[in-house]
Amino acid sequence: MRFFFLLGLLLWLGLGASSWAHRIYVFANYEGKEIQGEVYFNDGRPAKAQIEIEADGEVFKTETNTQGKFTFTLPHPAHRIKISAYAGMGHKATVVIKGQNAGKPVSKQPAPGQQTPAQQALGPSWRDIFCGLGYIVGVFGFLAYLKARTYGSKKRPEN
Amino acid sequence: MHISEGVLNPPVLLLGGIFTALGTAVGLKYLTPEAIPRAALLTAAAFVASLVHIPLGPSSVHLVLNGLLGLILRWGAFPSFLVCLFLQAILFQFGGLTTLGVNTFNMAFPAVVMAYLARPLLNKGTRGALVAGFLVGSLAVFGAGLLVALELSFTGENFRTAARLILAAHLPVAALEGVICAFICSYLKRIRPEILR
Repeated sequence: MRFFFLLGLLLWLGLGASSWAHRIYVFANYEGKEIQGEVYFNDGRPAKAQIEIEADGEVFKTETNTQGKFTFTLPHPAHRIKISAYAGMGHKATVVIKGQNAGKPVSKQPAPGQQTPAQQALGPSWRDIFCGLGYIVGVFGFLAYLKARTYGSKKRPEN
Repeated sequence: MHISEGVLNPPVLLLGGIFTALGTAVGLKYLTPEAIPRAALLTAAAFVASLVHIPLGPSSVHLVLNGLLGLILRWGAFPSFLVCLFLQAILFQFGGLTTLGVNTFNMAFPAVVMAYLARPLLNKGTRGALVAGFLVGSLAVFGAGLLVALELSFTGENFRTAARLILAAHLPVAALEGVICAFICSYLKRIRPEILR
């Protein structure tokens, strides 16, 4: 019980606090020859990341500024652009912009004050957390069932 | 310290998978029916702990709890982290399925090693348990950080730079983890010493 109390206390402490990097998000926008993008950590902080742009097989490299933004001008328009962001310590994210509509804007820039999808992804929901805890109970419950069956039959041999 | 998909190269991923499979096999043997509820409880704690961010100075940290799992579950830490990281990967996209083996190994292996090394200390009364708890709690986090740095070094990242960065970032976590682990350990030593045997 004391353990659950501690767990509850930790959960409560964690609410509202800014977060530790678990994953990064890359958000990009392509128009004409110009790529604009942003890289965020899961709590919305901008990430300093190395950017690799693969446009129709050609590879270009750039990096984000301190606001987590980058812009890059391709030498010519491309049909398939793969953008990988690498923020160190094992954090990587990739986004692919494909285009029959290459040359046209493929994702709309959010209006000022509006959140990008990356910023909206503020972290796991309570639903996911309790879902995970439920699975843990289930998995170990099943394991206990399997083990208890063999264990029990060893202890009490059949009459 | 969750390594994402597509960062490491295949041999490292494969090796991590093999080591984790072996560790999990040993761990499943090791978990007696009596130990399973304990393993479930600690898995739940580790699963939730990485979502709980404790503000500390300019940044914030989250607990890893791998040392605690190693101390109490020993090899059982492998199946425990496997379940925990699998759920974190599919529910929150922390880490990934291809890196599951490597990530599980990174967490569980240093914890198991530290727990075995600390065994003699654990038998030396409550004070011994306090020291053992601190050492295992903090060093298991550093061990995990070193493994991450080592694996990243195979992808071309400089080992010393990566290691320095990761260890510096985890210094506060290691200290906090050590203190928490020390208290839990000495508490268990007093009320339920058989758990730590």
